Amino acid sequence: MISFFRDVLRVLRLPCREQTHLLSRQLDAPLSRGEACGSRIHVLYCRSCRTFRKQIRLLRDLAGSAGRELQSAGELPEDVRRRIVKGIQANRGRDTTQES
Amino acid sequence: MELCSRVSSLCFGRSSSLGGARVVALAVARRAAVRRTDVQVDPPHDALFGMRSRRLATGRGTIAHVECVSSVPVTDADDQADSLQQSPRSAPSSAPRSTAVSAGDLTIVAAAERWVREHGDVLWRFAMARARSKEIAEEIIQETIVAAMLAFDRFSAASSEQTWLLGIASHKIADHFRQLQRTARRGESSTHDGAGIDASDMQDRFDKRGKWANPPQKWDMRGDGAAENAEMSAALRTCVDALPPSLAETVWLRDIVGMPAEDVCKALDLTATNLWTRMHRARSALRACIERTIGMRHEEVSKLKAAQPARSVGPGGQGSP
Repeated sequence: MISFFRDVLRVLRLPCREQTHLLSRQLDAPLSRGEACGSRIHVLYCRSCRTFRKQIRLLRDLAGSAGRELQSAGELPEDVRRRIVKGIQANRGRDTTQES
Repeated sequence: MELCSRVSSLCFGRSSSLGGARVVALAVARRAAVRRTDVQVDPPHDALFGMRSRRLATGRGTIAHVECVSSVPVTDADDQADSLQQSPRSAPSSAPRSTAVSAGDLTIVAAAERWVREHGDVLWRFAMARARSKEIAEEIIQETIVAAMLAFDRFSAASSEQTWLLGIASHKIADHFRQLQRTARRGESSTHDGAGIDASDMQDRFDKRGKWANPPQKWDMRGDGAAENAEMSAALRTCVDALPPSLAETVWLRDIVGMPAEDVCKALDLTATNLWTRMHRARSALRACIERTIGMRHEEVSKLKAAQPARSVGPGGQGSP
């Protein structure tokens, strides 16, 4: 409980620059309860950070949907696959020749 | 060392009286690609083991495939090794004079072929989406597989093969874009058309006390939501492509491919803190880039709107005074 309030107070004292770091970090890893609470309070009264949070979340969602489209972008063509496998064997052959 | 003793017991444990036997070992070194080491084995075998042990202990290589051939001439041994390379898994176990042993149950080459078979589609989509050229995507996959073969001994089971390969592919793509950027810088100096990341997008938007000096503007999402999203996706794509390669590869793996943060760290060999910092820089730059792109677009729309009444006044520009 003490650490929770300590985290809240610490985060509340942070300027907007650090708040944006936390807002971005929140998309990659969970914050501690105290940090999350402090960040949420800051966003309540800071319109710019609120806008920043909204926009980076939108960007993340757009990037995610671009990634989902990517899934249906097709398979490795058979001729390319064959060439790559042939390239692996050729590369191995070249290296073994160099070695011996 | 463990592998070395395993090899020694496999080759010599079964037939300890292998006078003049040949050991044909395919070893994969970190830097030197696939190696074949032909070793004439004469008693005492310890000399051979000592050599192999040193080699393995330096971390230079891992024996990928070992064939013990009893009392065969050099050329035969080479043929054996070649046939082994052609079909490593189908080495005749019941052959009278040859016994194939595969370390880790797969040779590097077989593993590479399996990577292409199993992860080729994912790598292809990833490379195609980033490089947007069949030739470059093919080259990137080729390089990725070769690099993976060289780094096979560093692959840790902690991350999945796909994550590992995507990480390597990501580095290769980043190298490709770095090269492109260098060429572009050499070719022309100032032909920036306003699209993509600007130097100002990478700058800090805060004052000395850390307060917003240049606060984010609300994005005016007017009109059809789907069309707006499509337009913004296109802008995002342009902006991601223009990010510094190290940031672009992080954004690709984390936000576009949707890899968990821990996997991105493993794939790109980053600490969690490094990843957060990179992602924050990338998101801030992308946000600023899109804001600028949208701002430019709105300016264009406003100009068009301002120009329209003048055109609608009448032919020949004869409007009322």
